[in-house]
Amino acid sequence: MTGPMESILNRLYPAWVIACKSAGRALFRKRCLIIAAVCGLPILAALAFRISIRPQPPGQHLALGGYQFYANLQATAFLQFLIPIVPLFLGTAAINDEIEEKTLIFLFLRPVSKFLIVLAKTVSVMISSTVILGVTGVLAFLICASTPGAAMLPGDLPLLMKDLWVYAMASFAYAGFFLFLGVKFRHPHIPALIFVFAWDEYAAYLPGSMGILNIKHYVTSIFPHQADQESFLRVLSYHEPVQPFLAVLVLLGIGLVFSFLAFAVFQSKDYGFEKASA
Amino acid sequence: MNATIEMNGLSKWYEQVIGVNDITAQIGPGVTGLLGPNGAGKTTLLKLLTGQMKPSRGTAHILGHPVWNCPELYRDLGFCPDIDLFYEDMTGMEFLVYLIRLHGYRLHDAHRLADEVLERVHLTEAGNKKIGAYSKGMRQQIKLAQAIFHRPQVLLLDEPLSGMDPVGRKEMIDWIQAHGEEGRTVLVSSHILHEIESMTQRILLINHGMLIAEGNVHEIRELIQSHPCQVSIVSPDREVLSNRLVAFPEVVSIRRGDSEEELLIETRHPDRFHERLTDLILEEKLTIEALSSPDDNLQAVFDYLVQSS
Repeated sequence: MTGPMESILNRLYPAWVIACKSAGRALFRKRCLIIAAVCGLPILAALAFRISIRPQPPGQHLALGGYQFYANLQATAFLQFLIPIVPLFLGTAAINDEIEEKTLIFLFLRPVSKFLIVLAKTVSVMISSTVILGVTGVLAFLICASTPGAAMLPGDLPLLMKDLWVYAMASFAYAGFFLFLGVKFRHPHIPALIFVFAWDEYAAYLPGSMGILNIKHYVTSIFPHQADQESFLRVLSYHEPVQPFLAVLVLLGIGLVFSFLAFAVFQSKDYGFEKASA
Repeated sequence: MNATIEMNGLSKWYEQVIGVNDITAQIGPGVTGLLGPNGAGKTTLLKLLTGQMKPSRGTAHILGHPVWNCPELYRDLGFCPDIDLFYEDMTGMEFLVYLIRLHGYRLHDAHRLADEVLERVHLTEAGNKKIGAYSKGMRQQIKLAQAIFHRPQVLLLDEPLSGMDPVGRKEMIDWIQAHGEEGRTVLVSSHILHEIESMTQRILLINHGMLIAEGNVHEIRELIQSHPCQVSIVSPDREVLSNRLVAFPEVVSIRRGDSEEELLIETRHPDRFHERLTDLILEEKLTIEALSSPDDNLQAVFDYLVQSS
């Protein structure tokens, strides 16, 4: 058993090296400053909430406690916005940056299949997105936990772990999809933004079961939080959560399928010809 | 000849642009020069041979393997591209360790191999500097290092002497020759005949994507005798250089170039001229900012060959 397993791990090792290196580099690019600024908004909101809360007299409870605020933050800022947006910025650029900077050649000239290179890039986006979302989530959690009477720590640490797990799974699916858009289109941000703010957001309101054709449907199925008040529109939407195990499988499947499609597009393009024929 | 590189009707076109047109050739161990003017199709041919592009027609094999979609081939193949673009934020050492690990080496072994290859290309001291801070010559060296750390059987070099100073050129030429003498296959592209001539006698001549001639460089040399070779030197010591170069018997003419520090020299014996120039620079401690050979004269030879064929 050791033999075949070792052989598989040896084959995957270069892909892991690419994933880690690419994730590390992505976190130190200028683009990351913009993402950090966007991610700072929910932290500022949490800080504003924390500052506005005063200790309550004995016997009185807050109308909106630290836990509820954190849950609302997760269900609105994270689920609706940050979870798709962070992989969007990183995923559309993951391969495009290497194509534009002409550094892809150094990866192509190694004994690593192109599919593994693409998959490694998807994993790298998952890692860097999870790190960014994770840092944002942990900071928001700590700020909310410090609210007087919040009583969140340490009992709610498993909840935080679950949030990090959701970020990772969601990031993998979105990373594969946005990587595909990045390889397919010259200006991938436009279709990517349309996907996030139109299709992924509103497909659930279309008649029938169109809601199952968006990524957010599966992210919501494993999401441990719910906003305090559902909007009127939300009531009209299609959302029958799937089993968490199935949702995770679908999210992994989306990441893998779109990585494969990205590879297929990638394989059919001659990125070097423009330069060579110049 | 035991061919390590085989091309059979190899062609590449993209819409209306023809990059490589029906090239059939075999290349064996030792150094072979790929000679052609700028835009002749040398880089496209090397991209086809390294599997970066899919041929429109025909096939290419290296060490018996088809080059398209064969990642395992890169265990025995090294390529030094002509592009001057890197992961600028990495140090030379990080760059090499990263690429070495993609060959399956664990971190410790990758560091050891990177140390070895940095020493071979004389970059040991610069190994911990960011590539973005490297000089042109150092960038060429690190590019070579990523192609040779695994001691490949087949090495393809695209304009490896471009932008190097005379001392660096000599070291590179010696290294390429030694690599070929070890029985490995080296294919070196250049648009400068004397550069190729200083490394090997075997050449493939291409122009407009077609193979015009292959064989001994001496035949080409005879053709070029009637066309003096032009050398451009950019140096703040232009006046001193000009006074010294006048005394060189190889020099046919010297004139000022477009910029204030540029000298344009014509010579009928570029190899001897470059040897003497290197000695002069070292003796007089002159500063050379750029050294290049415009390929007008080579183009004349190509035109002649195309017409005669």
